[in-house]
Amino acid sequence: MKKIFVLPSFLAISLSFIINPVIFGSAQFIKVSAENAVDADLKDFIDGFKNPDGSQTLRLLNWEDYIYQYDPENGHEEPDLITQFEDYVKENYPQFANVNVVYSTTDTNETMLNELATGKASYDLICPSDYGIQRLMRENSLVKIKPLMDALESIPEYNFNNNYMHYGSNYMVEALANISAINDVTGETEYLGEYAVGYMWGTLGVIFNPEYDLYSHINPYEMINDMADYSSLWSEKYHGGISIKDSMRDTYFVGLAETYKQELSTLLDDYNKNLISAEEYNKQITEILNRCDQTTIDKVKEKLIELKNNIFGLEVDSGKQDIVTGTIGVNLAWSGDSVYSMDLADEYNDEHGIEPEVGLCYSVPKTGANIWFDGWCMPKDETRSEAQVYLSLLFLDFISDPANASQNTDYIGYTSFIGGDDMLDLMRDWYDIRTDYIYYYDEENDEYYDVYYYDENDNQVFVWYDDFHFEGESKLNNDPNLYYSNLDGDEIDLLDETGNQAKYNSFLTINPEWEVVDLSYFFNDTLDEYENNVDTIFYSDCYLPFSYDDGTKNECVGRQFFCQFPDEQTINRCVIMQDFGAQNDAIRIMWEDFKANDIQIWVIVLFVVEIVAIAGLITFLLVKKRITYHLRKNRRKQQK
Amino acid sequence: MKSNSTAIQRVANKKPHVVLFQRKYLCIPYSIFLILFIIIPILLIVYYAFSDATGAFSFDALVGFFTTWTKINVLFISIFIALQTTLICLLIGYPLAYFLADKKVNKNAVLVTLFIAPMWINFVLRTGATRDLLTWMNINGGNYPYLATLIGMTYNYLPFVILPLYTTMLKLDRSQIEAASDLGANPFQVFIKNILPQSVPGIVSAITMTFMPTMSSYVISDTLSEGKITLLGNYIYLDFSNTAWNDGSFMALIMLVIVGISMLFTRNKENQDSKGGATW
Repeated sequence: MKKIFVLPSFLAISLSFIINPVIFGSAQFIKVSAENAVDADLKDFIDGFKNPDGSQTLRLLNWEDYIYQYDPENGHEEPDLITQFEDYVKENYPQFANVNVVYSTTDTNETMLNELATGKASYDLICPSDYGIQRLMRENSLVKIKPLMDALESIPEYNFNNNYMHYGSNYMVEALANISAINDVTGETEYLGEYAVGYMWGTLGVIFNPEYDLYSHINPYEMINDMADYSSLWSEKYHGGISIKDSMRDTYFVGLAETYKQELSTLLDDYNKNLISAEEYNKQITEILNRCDQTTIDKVKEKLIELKNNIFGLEVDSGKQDIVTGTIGVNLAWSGDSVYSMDLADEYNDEHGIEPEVGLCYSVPKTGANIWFDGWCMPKDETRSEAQVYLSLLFLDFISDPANASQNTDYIGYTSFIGGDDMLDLMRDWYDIRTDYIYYYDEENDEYYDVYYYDENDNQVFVWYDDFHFEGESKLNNDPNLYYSNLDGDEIDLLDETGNQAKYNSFLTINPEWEVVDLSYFFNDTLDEYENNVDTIFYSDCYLPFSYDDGTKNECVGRQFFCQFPDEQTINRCVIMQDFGAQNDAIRIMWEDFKANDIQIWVIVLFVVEIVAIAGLITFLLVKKRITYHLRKNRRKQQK
Repeated sequence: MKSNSTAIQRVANKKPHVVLFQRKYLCIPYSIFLILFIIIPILLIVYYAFSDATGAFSFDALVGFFTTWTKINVLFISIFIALQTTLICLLIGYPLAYFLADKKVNKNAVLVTLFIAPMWINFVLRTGATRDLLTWMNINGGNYPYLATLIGMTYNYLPFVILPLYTTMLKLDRSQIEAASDLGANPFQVFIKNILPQSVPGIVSAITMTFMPTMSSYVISDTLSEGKITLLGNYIYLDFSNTAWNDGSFMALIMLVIVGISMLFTRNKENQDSKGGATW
């Protein structure tokens, strides 16, 4: 039945396209046809999607642990996202009855790019970081996917929602789309938005433990203050407890920030005094933190070698465990890894009944930090079938659906590009203090009480507040079976003025100590049911009651919530690090120099002594042998 | 005419050529393996070592290696670490192997198994565990990178020293030793003049088993020195992961050359004292 309708409607639409787009077409349809010069070609191309020929195998290359997977032990009971996708396609797109996803993983951007460069394998979609995408764009080896997605969306027959454009956080999508690269082949400046669909993003900052043993003489709040600046990594005060990344780009960035700290802090001052606008500020620090001329490289090298003598070590993966086990106290870390470390530490502390005063903190240094993106893009491949192109786009649509994206985020721990109701739900569940169970706040005595009731089996059930639409309010207020206990767990009677059991009203009382975090910048225009600027205001208690020396607020020090969703102000001082381009080799050589060891004198002395000893021993033995031989010969002669 | 007929006769008398299974055909699977995974990769390394990014012949990588101080530096550190490891392993392993070879001490060879047992566990896992252990003992790589690396290396390569020495020691001519001491040699003389010369083949293969792998290893030094000690292996990896295949290949070639030289050296040595039991 469906097909009968589909065919005429498609004919009508294509006819309308020829005759007059204004009469029949939707607004978007017109936009696409107006914007795209290659429209006819494109249409021809996607026409082929109707009865796609060829292989229905979708080949994906992603990072390890970077997609939702079935893991019932940790409460992830749905099947793998890949399996869900296959089922979804089979159900909704009958032409893809044989769909099959081949999912491969890799561990660094370089291996990913190498694999493409050597042509070892071909993929339909890969997920490199921002600079990796830039490099591929420069080499002219990517397919433009945005026009394809827009064209598909404009024709309802294809059943393509373009979720990325609708639910992707405008703020992030724009930031990604505005990264440019010059195509070496055509010489044109092109933008990332045409080629890539954002997946996850995060910052590079410093995770630190203010109560680390080695730093016990330092006041935790003093340390928080210090860690807002990369210079502290160079400071003797923190000698021996710092670990940095054994990764060229990340550590080079930190070296850059230290090298140009004077310029950067002057700019920060200007910005704080409102002498320059936020955009101008970001533009200028982006320029500084992307320098890679030879003089800069030499300066950075010096700084990094200095740093090497102050640190505990370099790592790429062990740091997220080490900061929890107490091997190190400060670690240069990506936001997602920091969330992981904090979760791990919290779990450990809960189990052992430890209540740290501050706990692990994450800081995005004030003078400028690094923000990164990972995005899906499609490498050029002659052998790719139409079905594979269509499937790739459907896959992008699928993972950009807020429901699936939130499932992904829940599993991976990094922050998605996608907003939407489901994502907001997840974030509130995680970070909004109001989703914790209800308690009663007694203003007079400034005390909190737990609220609970007894179910039919006489089990104590805490009242949870997980419904933001306050549906339960009236019911709860009239419930005579509510009980209260103080924080020690003793049940108490709370009576109001009329002598009745106090009515539950706590959720409307906002604790003034809570930090208010506004995420409207991220969720703007992606919400269906929720209201932006109302539902996107979070209340959090995981921020520290702390201000920096310069009087600015604590926005820079936070826990999981801050790692995952830095506020707009923080993001504004974050810089996208471009591909080094032709300077890549120079920086690699710098990095090799940095990695090589100084030869200390004792090494040379020991080496020479050993060599001399070994050589001496061998000569001695040989000479001895010779002498014995002669002696024996003489003895024999005498005997004769 | 006569000659013609004999020729025909000869052809007629010739047995039909039947392809029979020959014992050397058993080598075919390995030969294929050898060509695919050893010869071709080595040729590729040589090709990349002597070409530039565009694939044209060039000495850039060679000149680059010998004019870059840091690369020579890393080579030196690698040799240094390898030498230390070999010496420490020999100092620990030699007496141990001697006692293990004594049937009175080591009944049923249970003790040998104990010393060899760590080899059965993957060395990456073992290194991770060593790191935790060293951190617990407060000899972490952050403060003592050289010490931590040497401990890790020794721990990893000790079995490779014990095993060849042990097999050589088993074949020691015990009666000769007894004779030496009966004829008045003191224990030191017995050792120097009798045991040591007899065990030279074992020492040589122990050195080959330790020195080169230590030089090229990189997981151990990377993990245990917290990334502070960089060996040639790390450098090669660094170059390859940054698409600098030519430089990386040249360093790999240097390593191959060093292996070759040490092989030549030890091969001579082994031929000289080939009383059997050269390797284990």
